[in-house]
Amino acid sequence: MTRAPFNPASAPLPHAAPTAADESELLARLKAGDGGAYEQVVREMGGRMLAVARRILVDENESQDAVQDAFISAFRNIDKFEGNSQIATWLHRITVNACLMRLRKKRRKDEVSLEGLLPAFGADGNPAHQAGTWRRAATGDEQAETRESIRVAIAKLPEHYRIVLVLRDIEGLDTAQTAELLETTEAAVKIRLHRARQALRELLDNTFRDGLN
Amino acid sequence: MSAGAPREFTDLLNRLEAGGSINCRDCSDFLMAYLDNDLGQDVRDRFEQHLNKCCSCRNYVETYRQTVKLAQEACCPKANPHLGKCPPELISAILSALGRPS
Repeated sequence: MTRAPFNPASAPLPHAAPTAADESELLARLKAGDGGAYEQVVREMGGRMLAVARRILVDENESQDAVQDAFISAFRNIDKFEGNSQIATWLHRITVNACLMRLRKKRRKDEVSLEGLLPAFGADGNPAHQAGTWRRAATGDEQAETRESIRVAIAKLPEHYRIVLVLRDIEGLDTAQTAELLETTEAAVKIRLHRARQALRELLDNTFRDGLN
Repeated sequence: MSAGAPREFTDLLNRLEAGGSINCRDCSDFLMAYLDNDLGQDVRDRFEQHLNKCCSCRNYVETYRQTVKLAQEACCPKANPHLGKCPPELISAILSALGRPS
């Protein structure tokens, strides 16, 4: 099966994307063991990889440890990287893997139920509550607060669902890639993603609800 | 009232073939398939007929779409540059672990 190239939605670096020549030169320096190149990559990409880890793991210490694991793993295996994607994309994938490894190692907690966060219906298929419209997102400082409250809401989702939402909707993996990483089926990924989105919608409803129209 | 277990698409098809119509629960359960264009044309048409007459479901579809967009915006590094900052101590720790102290 041919898959689309891995292309994280959150991928843009906070500066201009490197040219192919820049990438090629940087990769050559990394493979040659150039200490300056290692430091450049850690300084330029460390923050972005930490943001990815925080979205997946939530816990700050765990996130920092995962990023450290990822960089060490990446640099130890630099000879295996053929340069067929951007270095940032390659590091992103290694970081996601490092985070998922940490999740698997953690003693599994009882799964938190989404039941209270999913829409409820009567036997006739009618909803328990009518859905209203949402007001427009604010601007300026209020917008920054709103974004923070959305990140908090994402972190509140049960891990089982949050991971799928983060990988699919935030990190930009497709369904097949997500299923492979989570060692599950594409059908299971779709069900979990839909439920995670519904639950997040419910969590955000209190913040944004405007009314019926 | 219950959110219930995930439903199979064939359950919906069987009910529609038996003369049933799309209801609000169907709309909620198969919304992602609708947005991903994974429903057949006939089911899609009937889904849209329900949306045309149900304000609550129209609102639900729109706010579901907004949820995905808002989540992406809230985590986008361009819109939230502070999220992409790496603590200096982490940079030092990584470089030290690589045997290249900063």
